Amino acid sequence: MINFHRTLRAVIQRNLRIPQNSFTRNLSSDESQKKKEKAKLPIVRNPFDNAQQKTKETFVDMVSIFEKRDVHRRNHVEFIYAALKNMEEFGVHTDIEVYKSLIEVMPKGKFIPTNIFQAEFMHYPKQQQCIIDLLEQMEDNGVIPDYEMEAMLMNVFGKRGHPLRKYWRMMYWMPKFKNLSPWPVPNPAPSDIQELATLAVERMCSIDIKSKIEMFHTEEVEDSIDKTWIISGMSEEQSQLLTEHKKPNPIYIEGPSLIWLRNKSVHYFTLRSDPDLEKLEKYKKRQIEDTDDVSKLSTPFFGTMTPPRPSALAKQRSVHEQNDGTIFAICATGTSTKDSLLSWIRLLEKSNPCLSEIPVLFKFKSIVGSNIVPVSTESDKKKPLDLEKIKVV
Amino acid sequence: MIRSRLNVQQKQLFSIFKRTVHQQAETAVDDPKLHHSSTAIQRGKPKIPSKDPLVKNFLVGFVDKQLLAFPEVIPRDDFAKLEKDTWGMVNYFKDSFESTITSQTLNDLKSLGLFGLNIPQLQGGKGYFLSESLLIAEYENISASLGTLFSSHRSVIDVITECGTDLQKEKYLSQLADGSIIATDAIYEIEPTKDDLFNTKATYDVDDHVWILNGEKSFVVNGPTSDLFLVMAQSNPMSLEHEHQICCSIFLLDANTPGVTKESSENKFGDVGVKTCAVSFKNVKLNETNIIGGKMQNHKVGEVYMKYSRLRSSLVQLQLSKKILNHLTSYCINTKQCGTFLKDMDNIKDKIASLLCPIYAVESMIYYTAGMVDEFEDQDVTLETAITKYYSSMTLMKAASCAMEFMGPKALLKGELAEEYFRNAAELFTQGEPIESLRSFIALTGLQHAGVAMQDDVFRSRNPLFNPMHMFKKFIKSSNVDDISTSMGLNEYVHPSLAGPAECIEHCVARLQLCVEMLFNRYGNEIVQRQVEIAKLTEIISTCYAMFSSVSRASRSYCIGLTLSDNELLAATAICLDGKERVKVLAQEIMKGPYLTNDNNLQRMSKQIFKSKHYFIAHPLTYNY
Repeated sequence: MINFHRTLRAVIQRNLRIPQNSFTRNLSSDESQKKKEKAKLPIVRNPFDNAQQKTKETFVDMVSIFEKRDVHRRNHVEFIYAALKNMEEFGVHTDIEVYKSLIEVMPKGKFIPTNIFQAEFMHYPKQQQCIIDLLEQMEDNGVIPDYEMEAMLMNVFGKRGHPLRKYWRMMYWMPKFKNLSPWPVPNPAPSDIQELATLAVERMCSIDIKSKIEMFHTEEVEDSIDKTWIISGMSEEQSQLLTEHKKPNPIYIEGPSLIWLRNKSVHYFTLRSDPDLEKLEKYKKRQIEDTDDVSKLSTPFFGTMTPPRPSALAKQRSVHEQNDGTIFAICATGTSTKDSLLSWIRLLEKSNPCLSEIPVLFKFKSIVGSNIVPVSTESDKKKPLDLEKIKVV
Repeated sequence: MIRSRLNVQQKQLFSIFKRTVHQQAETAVDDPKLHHSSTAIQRGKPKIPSKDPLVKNFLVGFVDKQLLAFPEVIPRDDFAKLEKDTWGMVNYFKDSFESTITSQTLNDLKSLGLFGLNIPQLQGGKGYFLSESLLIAEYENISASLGTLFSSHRSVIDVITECGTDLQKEKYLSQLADGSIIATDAIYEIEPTKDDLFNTKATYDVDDHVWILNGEKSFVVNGPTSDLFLVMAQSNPMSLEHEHQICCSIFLLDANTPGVTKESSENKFGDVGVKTCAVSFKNVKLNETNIIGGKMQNHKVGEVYMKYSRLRSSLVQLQLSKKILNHLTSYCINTKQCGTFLKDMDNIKDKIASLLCPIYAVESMIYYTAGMVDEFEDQDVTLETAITKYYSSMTLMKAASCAMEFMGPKALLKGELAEEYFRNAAELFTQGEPIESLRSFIALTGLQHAGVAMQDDVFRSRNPLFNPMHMFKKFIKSSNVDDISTSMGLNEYVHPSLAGPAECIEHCVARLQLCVEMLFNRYGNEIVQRQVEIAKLTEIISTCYAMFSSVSRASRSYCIGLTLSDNELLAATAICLDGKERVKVLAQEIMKGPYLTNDNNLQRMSKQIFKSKHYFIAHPLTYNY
């Protein structure tokens, strides 16, 4: 009997790659013994690895098969760990119903402590830890539990169970964190690239509330090669800064930089110049003002709300004038190619005629090719770029 | 017994005035300049030297007790004569008057001499001074349209008589007097300016020695039929020194000058009688004779203009408020609801009376301020006129909304009198400078004055470690706004029945001074940017002036026994009690600062509104999980 258990553990550990310390202690001390035992016993396979179709349906089916297989539901902890590990592959890692069905695997009533000592010393620690890990995974994936889950946990572990405490803490914090982001992104993030790019540019431009997000089509530019879209963000103030830009100094198209929206990323480019140190120095000088002198207050005149102050009349440093450079515009294009960026400059010229007199240079941080994919999901990222088609600029 | 004591005091007071008048008459002979100005006015009492500004000094905690005597600027004989003169006018407006202004009406008005009320008799006008011309304007203010027409016409005349060159006076005044040309102001613009005061620009052409005017002015009252415009325009900075100063020049401009175009009249909400329109200027060439007030005095000219125009337009507003009150009264008398007349219901009584109070205060302020202008030479009434305008605007809006509360949907039915009043009230409320800017003007003008006086104190308080003795002294005599004691003795200068209200004024002024001190200590000259506190301060300042002028007027009326003057006592008492409570609350808020009051909460919320650019709050029925 002991042998059997050892073997089973060894098999499950191998299949599920569960860290050893969370398992049993005296298990893998003897590798050769393990191998012998393995040969004697039938191999318990991880049902999730062998699934043909990795969908929610098969996942739930497998859980119900496990439930019905025998009355004792042997190895249910191991089964739950195995299931948790494979959830993402089946695309159900954000699905609360699936988590619930996993909890449902636990037998009811058996694990409820009957006295205070059991309650405090973690009655059935392995089972409790298993469900705590399940809840932890839910939390990591941003799945907020519901009240039904509370009832289920109550039935399995009683009201003094540790998983329930974990549940209550989650229910306190998770709703609070859910909407805390000042730049909320729809959940799930849109899969349409263009929509995603608009969201990204909007969020980056929110620093200046007068920013205008425009969508250009490169078809409008006569000699453009790439026919694609450009999402461009620029504000009135940035236009003004561009007209004030000293003509012989070049401005740069810098990028591509990466911005993440949930699990998707967008490449974007900025139009910027080197910092105008002279101007920045001037701003600094103006900030010094004696606030103690109240003998020369000025009054408003004819319909103005506040009187003009010397410092108000002087130009204020704008948020776009940073120490490392002045940012004039941001864009994301459909192809992220050099040609589409050129089209962007041409299109910006319509509302900013001064652009035609300023030299514009490309300053690429990484390889920009003709077919770079501007938006990539995590799975896309793993694929190596097709190096042959990329021209290094 | 009380009476006799009062009489003694009043006699003392009047003797003070008489003495100063006498001195003034003597000096007037020696000083050719003063002599000149007195001939220009021609009628009325000669003016006496100016006093320190009244309301501005409230901010430093000083009340000129002598000014509690309500000014009697029109001599008794003149007053009788004035009544006789205006007899025809009264009848004209009483008989039949329609709100639309036709050429026939204009001719009638010309023959009545209404266009030249405030023009010296030498130039063919009636030569009335401010109080008199306001008194007569009350008759024509039967229509809000005429009121606005005349108030802008006369304000321009006031500017010409006070700041114009002899040439300009000669050129325009006699024509303005007989109504052959009508003047108006062209100041406000529809487009907000970015950095300057005005979008209308005047540039000086050095070669041709002419000014070239470009731009457009909107909301020009009576624009379509006006012949003379008072235009304010942004002009070049005079020198590099004034680079950061806003320079504006003020021009007198004939409507038929080449380059001036009157646009079609604007479609407005109210005031149908008088049309407003936009006037555009395209390369209008002007020479030195068109500039009023010279190069550097434009600020002064602007102030003179604002002084008169504020006062005159608040009179128009007052008349409309009175009309609304009368209309409501008759409505309440004639309307029965479930067996009770409205007039017998306590809440209606309460509302009507609490509408009477601010109207009384506005009337007192207008004639008190005008009296000061007429009584003293070059008296500083900038703040007083601004407060009067502010208070009368607020009162008018209160009256107009009161009608809606009483009458319900009927108040906005087309053809109803209340509806016309409401539209006109809205029109008058928005005419001229915006209320919000008036609000900041009042407090900041006061603070400017107080800042000069309190500079040393503020400097010491803001640098406490360098001035330990000062801080120690302040600590010892520390007083708070909740519980204040004063001993200005204002009650000795009013009728004994008004001793209580006089004490209220004292408390309010004392609280005001504490607030000003606190604000200076807290923000230094950055107070200019604290608009929330500024608005509260404005409320306090204007309440103080309303109380002061009402008490002054009620005291006079009761002492000389005018009809129903006991009710004036009641009105003044009500204004003071109400004002005292309001000032106390506001002063406490200022003392507590933004973090203990609601100010900071509101600031934070508004930040989010602008960040989200819309109403951002989630729907109440939304689920989060």
